[in-house]
Amino acid sequence: MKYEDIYRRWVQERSRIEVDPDFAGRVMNRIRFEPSWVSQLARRWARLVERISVSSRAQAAALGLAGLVGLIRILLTLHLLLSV
Amino acid sequence: MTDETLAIERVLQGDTESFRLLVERYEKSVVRMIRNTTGVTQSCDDLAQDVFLTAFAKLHSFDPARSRFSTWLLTIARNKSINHLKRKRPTTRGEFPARVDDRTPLAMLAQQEAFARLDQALASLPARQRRAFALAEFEGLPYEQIARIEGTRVGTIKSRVSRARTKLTEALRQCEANDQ
Repeated sequence: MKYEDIYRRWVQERSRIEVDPDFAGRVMNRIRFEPSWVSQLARRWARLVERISVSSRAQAAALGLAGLVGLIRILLTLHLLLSV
Repeated sequence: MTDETLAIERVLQGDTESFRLLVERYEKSVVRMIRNTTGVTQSCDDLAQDVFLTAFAKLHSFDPARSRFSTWLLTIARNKSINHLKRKRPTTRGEFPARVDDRTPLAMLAQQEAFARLDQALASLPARQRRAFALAEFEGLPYEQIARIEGTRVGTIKSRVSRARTKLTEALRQCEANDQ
């Protein structure tokens, strides 16, 4: 058998696929039962972002929190460097 | 409006069951792409399910003006495959189901050996080349669509596919040379 023929057969063979007949059913089950907490989390996150974007107080608080986290990281890095 | 666009619109309006049409239409493409790009067969189904779950969760971000649904979905599959390979190195291949063949046992054995050599050569390709090759050869996608999925230029894809083909045919030639 020529290698072109083997190559063609191999491509054909690897292109064929057997999918579980209930694959779509299992995906739909997971969609129905699993994502409630994911969508809830996404909604909560979207709500939080929305609140921050409309309130200047919330924006100041978020900025302050980010600054505090940054400062803690710098202090921790300095502490680690000095303790070596 | 195609049945696909209609299904997407219905899902976005809250009709979850309409997503089934999209799953049934693309399940083979997604499973095949994951199997041929990651080299795994056992966890292939779980990964493919994750692709559809992600697609469902992010469906609101799909823009039909920017790409076809299949391109968008296979891009998710590509990213899942990359993440999977980052977490876990691919295991051995060769778990493909054997098919009934009416040729002589010797011819079948020779073919099995050649197929194993090709599988091995495919698994040893760099991940980008393997993905481009799998999408071109096993999925039969045009280079333009592969370039969109991979987020690169058409020329780059052509070159990756060509290099992959050269390496595979080279592996096959070596296999034949060893037999002679």
